[in-house]
Amino acid sequence: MIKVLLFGAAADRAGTRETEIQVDDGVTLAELWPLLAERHPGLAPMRHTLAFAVNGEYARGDAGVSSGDEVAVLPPVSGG
Amino acid sequence: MQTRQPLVASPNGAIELSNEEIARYSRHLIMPEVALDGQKKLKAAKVLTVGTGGLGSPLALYLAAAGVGTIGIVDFDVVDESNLQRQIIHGTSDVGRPKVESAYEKIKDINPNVEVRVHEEALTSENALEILDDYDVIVDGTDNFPTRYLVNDACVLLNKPNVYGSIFRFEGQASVFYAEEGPCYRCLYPEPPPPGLVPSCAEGGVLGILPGAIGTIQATETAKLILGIGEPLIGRLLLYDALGMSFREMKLRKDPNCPICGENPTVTELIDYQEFCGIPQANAAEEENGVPEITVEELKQKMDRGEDINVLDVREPHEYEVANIGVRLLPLGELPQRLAELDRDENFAIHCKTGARSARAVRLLQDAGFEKVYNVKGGITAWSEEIDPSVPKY
Repeated sequence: MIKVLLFGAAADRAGTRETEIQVDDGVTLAELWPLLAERHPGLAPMRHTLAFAVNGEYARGDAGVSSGDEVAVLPPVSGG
Repeated sequence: MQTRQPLVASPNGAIELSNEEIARYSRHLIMPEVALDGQKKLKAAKVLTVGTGGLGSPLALYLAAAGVGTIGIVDFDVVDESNLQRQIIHGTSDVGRPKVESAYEKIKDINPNVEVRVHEEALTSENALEILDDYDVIVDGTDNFPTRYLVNDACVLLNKPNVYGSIFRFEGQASVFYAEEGPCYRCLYPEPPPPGLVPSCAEGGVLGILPGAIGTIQATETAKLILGIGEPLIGRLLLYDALGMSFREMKLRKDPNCPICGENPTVTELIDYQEFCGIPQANAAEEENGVPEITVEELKQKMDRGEDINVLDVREPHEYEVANIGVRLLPLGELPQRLAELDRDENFAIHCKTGARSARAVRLLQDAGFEKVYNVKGGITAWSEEIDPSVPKY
């Protein structure tokens, strides 16, 4: 199980700040994304504007994730 | 005491503090991390705050009080009533005045020793390098993506630290983007979001107190960089959640392929950031795919003449409670499920706050086979301004 934390506009679009996703070990972030977008379709248009972190470290699509990991979904924020 | 090279070299005999300044900065001078030498560094330092809004307000006030010698302020905006909930450098009596004017007066009142440099203009690709060049630290308190990328790129090109902060609803972020030592904003977000995808504070709202928390973090990082003390937020993104009252931290990495700070940069000068963020393209598309509109005057006349037109308000119930014009509320999010309540053969005028959500509602109805649907131009805001000022503007 992977814990997904959603921030800012991503949390608003998903309607939740936290969700859990069951994955096979050895999947990448890029492979995790469709599962997340399927569960929360509001997130789908944000794909290319999001930053991700795995266990507190910035990660790209090819980063591997496995059960027990915590994935943060960070949309850009412009407000000031 | 120093943990890193201070951004401002020790001024030694070049800068002295008066007895008044020594009394004023007493609480700094008794700490070995600042002391007389540090206070002189602060006095020698030049800091530019881009924007005197939510973040710029606490930033400029605290940096001034702390004794930063030169503070530049860039803003072209005037103070609006809706700014006062969070932009504490401006007061009620400043409404309608240029923000740089009220900011100048507040800074000078807090600390007359500060030299305030006023840049009453928008930061653009044409003037950014010249304006930023004279400062040691740039603090990003802007409110839009084009300016954020502009500030980032200009800082990378000039090799200056960009003390970044941003806010949305109850959440804030802060970091220090300093390409010489770590990642830049583009390493984190190489592509800007398409216009409209990520709401601004004007669209999504923001807790008025939130920029106080983030702006003071930016001010703290600025002072630390000047003094060369502590661990700066370089390579770390700090996330603050006011509702959970928690801080989290993400480690960032410099992207070797970053188009501006990477190993083979493709961006070697400032570009057109409006274009980069897709704003002219979105405006053109909007014009091309525009929906039929009705002005508030036209709508008022139709209503007064008793013409057969259904007016729908597609905002949220909590907005309706703040201000409404007595028409039927049908929030945009519920519209797809409630189409059966509406008659396709009738006329509809749809309004929201300013016209963006109602345009989406018009398209939704058009797609569902409605033919006589109009978007109320400017929404309830225009109604308040042009038809009935007793309807509050929010």
